[in-house]
Amino acid sequence: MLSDEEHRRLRRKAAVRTNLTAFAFLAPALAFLLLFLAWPVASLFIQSFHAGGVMSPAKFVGLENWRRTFLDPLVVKSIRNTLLYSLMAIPTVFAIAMALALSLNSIKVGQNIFRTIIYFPTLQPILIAALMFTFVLHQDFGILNIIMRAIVGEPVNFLGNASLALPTIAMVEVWKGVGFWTLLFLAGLQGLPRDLYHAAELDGAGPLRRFFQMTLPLLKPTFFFSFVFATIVNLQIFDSVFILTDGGPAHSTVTTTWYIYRSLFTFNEPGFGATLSFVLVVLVLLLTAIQTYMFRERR
Amino acid sequence: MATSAISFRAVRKSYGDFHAVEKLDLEVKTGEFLVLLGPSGCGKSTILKMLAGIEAPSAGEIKVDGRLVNYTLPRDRNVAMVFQNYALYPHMTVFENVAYPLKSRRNSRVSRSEVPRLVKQAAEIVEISDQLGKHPEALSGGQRQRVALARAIVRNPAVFLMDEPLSNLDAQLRNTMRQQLIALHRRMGKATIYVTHDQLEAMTMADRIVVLNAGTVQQEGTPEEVFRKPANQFVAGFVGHPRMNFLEARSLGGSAVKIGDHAMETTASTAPPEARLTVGLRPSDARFHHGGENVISGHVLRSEFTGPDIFLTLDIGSGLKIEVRQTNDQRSSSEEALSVAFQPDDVHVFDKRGNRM
Ligand SMILES: Nc1ncnc2c1ncn2[C@@H]1O[C@H](COP(=O)(O)OP(=O)(O)OP(=O)(O)O)[C@@H](O)[C@H]1O
Ligand SMILES: [Mg+2]
Repeated sequence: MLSDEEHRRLRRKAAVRTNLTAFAFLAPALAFLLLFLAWPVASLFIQSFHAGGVMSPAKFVGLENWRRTFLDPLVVKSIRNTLLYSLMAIPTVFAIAMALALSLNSIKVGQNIFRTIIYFPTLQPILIAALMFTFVLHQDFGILNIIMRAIVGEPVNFLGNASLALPTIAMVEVWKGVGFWTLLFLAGLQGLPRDLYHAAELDGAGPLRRFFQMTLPLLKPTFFFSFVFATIVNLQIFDSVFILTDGGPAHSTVTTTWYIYRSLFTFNEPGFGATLSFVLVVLVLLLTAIQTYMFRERR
Repeated sequence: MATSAISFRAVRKSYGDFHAVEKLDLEVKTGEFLVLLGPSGCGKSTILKMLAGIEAPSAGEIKVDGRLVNYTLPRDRNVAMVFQNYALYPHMTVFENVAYPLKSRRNSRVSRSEVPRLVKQAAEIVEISDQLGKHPEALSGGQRQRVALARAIVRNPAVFLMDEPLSNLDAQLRNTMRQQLIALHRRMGKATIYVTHDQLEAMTMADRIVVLNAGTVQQEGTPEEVFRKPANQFVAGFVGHPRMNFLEARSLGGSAVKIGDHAMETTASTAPPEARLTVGLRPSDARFHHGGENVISGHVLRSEFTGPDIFLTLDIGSGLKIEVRQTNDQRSSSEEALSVAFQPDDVHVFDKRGNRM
């Protein structure tokens, strides 16, 4: 018989062995992470205490950038816009994608064709999609405004109206993202065990109950990934803003990434941009943490 | 005359050109325990699914309590099913699983306040009262199966369907559950269709057995009928353990047959002399130390000790072999040559196509 002490020693040894194996497999990924993430982040952090650095030599300015970040009304506005945009775009794209996935899941013929069509917008670069929408939304000859004219009587200045511009950008992003989320949800739906639905049907559950009491809770892992991923992606909204409105009109579509970009490349204030980047990273981390907490297993 | 709780009339189920179930006629009375017995893929689950409304029949009529249900939604059929893999809701506790049929019915006659009482009652019957707070993943196979049962009995349906509910359990638990299921059935008094590929389960539980192969009914009868008078070679081979011996034989005219050099008297109807036949002999029907009539003699090729029994393989000449069972007390000194007798009743005769004569 081994003594307790020996058991403990052997257990520790076994644990080290398994951890070492895991570590060996993770090492290459960790190396890349350090090289391409940790290092840039660290240098960004250092930069946030400096001014200049692109056209002129960098100069240490202490907490000046941080002070500005918290006082600049445009920073607050950009964060507000980014969050507002996410709150519009994410639930909308999820609801539409879910509805499409449910319909696709229930049709027997032509599923592949519909899948391809729905995925099409996701395949094209956002640059081209956004350019396409500048034409679709154009006040004088955009197709959408030809329709609006027929319905409302007058054209709508989608991108030129301060209260419409941000929702319009959200709409473009929804249009582009819906194919991706539909396919993701469809894969989730098709992975659910069919017998559970049969059992629920026999137990008397109608379509609505089956959706709310079976599908939604069973897709929890899919939704967790989706919310985290969508948050990370959407908080970095940039391309469509850059092309469609460039932050306007009247700063109504200024988003955090747009402001970072402008600070770095237009206003020649890399220190300020670096600080703002840091704020965004913290915001993303915070929201992800909240989501992880909300989706935790309650068993 | 009592009407049948369940009736299938000329029901067929096809997937493309493949017929999973062919021309099924079946009646199950209230209070009857009917077992569908057959090998894997013979269409057992398909029959249950058609009755439950999960699969639509390709042809024929299905009735529950005299009402045509072909076009009725599953939830309106008053049928409860225990699925082959239990199909418990993983995100709900055991209590919520069992309560689900009570809560999700639109026109439920059960009031909300009664739900806990009914759930507890059902849980008590299948002895899972102490598991109600757990999730299915935290249960053993046997406990999951009981939860599936509780979910089926809680709402008092007209018909019970059970799809191999014991197939995942170990031999001992299967034994006790078999008895508990039958006791439960007696208590509920509902029409039950029970699916299994285990002939022992079928024999011990059934009021009536329907033997299936490749989507068609081979025989229908009490366990005793199916065992004593198998309708064809398939049933004879499928029912009974150890498996029946099948031997080539010739008719001697009348009801006598000749297996190799051994003439045997049978109770089969007559076949023309010299007709080619197949004779079936159950290892357990062999009688030792009898001498005289209906004897087959041979020498022992192999003997297997299994505890209470010894299985002997005999070479009976003409290239024929036969397996027989000897109980320990019939055991003679380990002889080389041996004679075994079969009662005429125990000699099953099948024609060229495998049908009983
Ligand atoms: N959706 C389907 N499409 C095509 N063939 C099917 C389908 N469902 C079942 N089958 C076929 O129908 C036959 C009967 O299937 P079924 O599930 O009823 O068998 P079973 O008797 O329950 O078998 P087991 O004992 O293995 O559960 C099988 O040959 C199966 O391959
Ligand atoms: Mg089956």
